[in-house]
Amino acid sequence: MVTREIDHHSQIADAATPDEIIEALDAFGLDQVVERLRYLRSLDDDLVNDEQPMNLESLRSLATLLIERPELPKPGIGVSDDGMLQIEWDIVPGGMLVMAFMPGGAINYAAASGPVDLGRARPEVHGSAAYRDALAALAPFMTHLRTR
Amino acid sequence: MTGDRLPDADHIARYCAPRQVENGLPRWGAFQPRAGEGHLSVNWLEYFGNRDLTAAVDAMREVFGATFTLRRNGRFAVLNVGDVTRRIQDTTNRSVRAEHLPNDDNPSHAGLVGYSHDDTEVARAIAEMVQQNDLHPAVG
Repeated sequence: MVTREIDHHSQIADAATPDEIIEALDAFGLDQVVERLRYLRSLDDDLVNDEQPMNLESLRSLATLLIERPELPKPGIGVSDDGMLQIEWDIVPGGMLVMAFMPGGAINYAAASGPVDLGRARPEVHGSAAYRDALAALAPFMTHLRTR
Repeated sequence: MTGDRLPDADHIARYCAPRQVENGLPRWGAFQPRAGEGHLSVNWLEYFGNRDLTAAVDAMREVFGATFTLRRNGRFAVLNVGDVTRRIQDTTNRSVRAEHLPNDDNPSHAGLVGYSHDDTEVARAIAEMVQQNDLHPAVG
């Protein structure tokens, strides 16, 4: 692990607010991710319909993935009603990979690859597991990802 | 009547909040039921009569928006009942159905019944089928 990555790991691990994590990602150079997260964070100022603010631990888990795997294209990023960070990519030439970062470090995930050909099964995986186990389950699907 | 199954030819609309919309497209979490609920809350467009979908969305927006705060950057994703239930069956092997679940505030309320918050693969399958031309502004 290079020094730069260790520094940002520490910043993310020690962050007390979502904004501090977003600042660490900014310093790491993830400009597009930071732009999206800042927009999502701005929506925390005007929550409606029982929406919960962005969850700190969920964002920390997402940020850890992003700095560990900087080669990945920018994911699509959303926030659930209960404040959990969720990401997604298209898989080329067909399919989709999605993750939700849960408090406590678990990831809920699902992926399917290949064009939809109704009636014909395609490679698929889904479940919920601790961070490292979830990434291991998703590893065969984490190539040929494209920003959705 | 509560629990009536919606015909395959009919349409349902799901509100996608701004936190679940990026580049104009809903993210997969927009199709994830709330924790503790056994269905995805949607609105049945044919409840408002046999009119074109845009007019039905206008009517639904008025009813739904009376009790639920809609945001300018939100979207309604309109799905054909038969298309979405078949797609889920074929790509996830899960059986999901659309049911009319009216309430006092919203007589068009319906549910995509048969999956829950943790069934990530079903939400993924719905998100994968939504196209730009399925989307309508949340605020008219």
